[in-house]
Amino acid sequence: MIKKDKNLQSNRLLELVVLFSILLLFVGTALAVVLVGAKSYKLIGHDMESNFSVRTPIAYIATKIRQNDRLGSVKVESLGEQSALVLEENIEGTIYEAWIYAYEGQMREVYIEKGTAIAPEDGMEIIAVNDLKVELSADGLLDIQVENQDGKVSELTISFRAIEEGRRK
Amino acid sequence: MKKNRYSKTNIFFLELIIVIFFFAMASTLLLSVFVKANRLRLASKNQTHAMIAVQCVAEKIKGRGELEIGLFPLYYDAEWQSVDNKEDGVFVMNVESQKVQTISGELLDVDLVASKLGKEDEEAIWQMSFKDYIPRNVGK
Repeated sequence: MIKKDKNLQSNRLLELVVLFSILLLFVGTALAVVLVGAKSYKLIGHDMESNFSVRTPIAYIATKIRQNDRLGSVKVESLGEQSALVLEENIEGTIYEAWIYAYEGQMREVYIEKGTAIAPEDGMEIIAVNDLKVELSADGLLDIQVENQDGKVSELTISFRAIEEGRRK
Repeated sequence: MKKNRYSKTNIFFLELIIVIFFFAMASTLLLSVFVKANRLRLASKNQTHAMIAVQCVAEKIKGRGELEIGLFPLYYDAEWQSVDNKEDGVFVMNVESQKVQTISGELLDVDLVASKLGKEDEEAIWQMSFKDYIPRNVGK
């Protein structure tokens, strides 16, 4: 009788161990699924932000250049230690300039009448970037290099339609 | 009494098995969604960079107005930075061009196809075709 009781007790213990093991496995797997989901969500969010910060400054500058693609209206100047893209526009006989540059982790733009003195902090913040380099190459192409906040560098070369027209006439 | 207690445990055990079964089904579904989301994330990232790289090459060709005719590859690493050797490349952009002579000049026809190295025939990440007209008096 005592032996039978002992057997039943050990069976019950085994059952409990199996039950708790399954329960533990269930909790562990549930946690793993949540963690995988969270990681996936985090990566997607990060990449979306990264894609945005890679594409937007380049697309913004390219659009600004296309809007001002006239002979002699696109220049590269220096503002402090930074290179700045300068887009000239003639409105009713007065020449205005849009300066696009990077300063203190932000791509900035300032619109002024030509000849007005500006300081780097005057520009309106557009988007966060680590660095922005613009360079006019010898063959008349504009090289833009943007480093986003993650340190990813993206480059775009732009050919001017206006120069092209002038060259081909 | 004892028999009754065992049956209670068995019922809980059965309930747990049913819960695990539904959980396993839901997890499988969720994991496949996560895997697909991850694939889309990578595809979106590559598309963004491939688009910029293709646009960059197209602008260079249009700006310079001259190009080696035929098919030549440009290699890029995993971060879409240009590399010289195929061995260092993860992605490739095939630049295929041909010139058509017209009465007053030449028509440059260029196809740019960015894809993963080794999977060029399967799927293009980004593709662009453009034509550039070069009048005959240019360069003379």
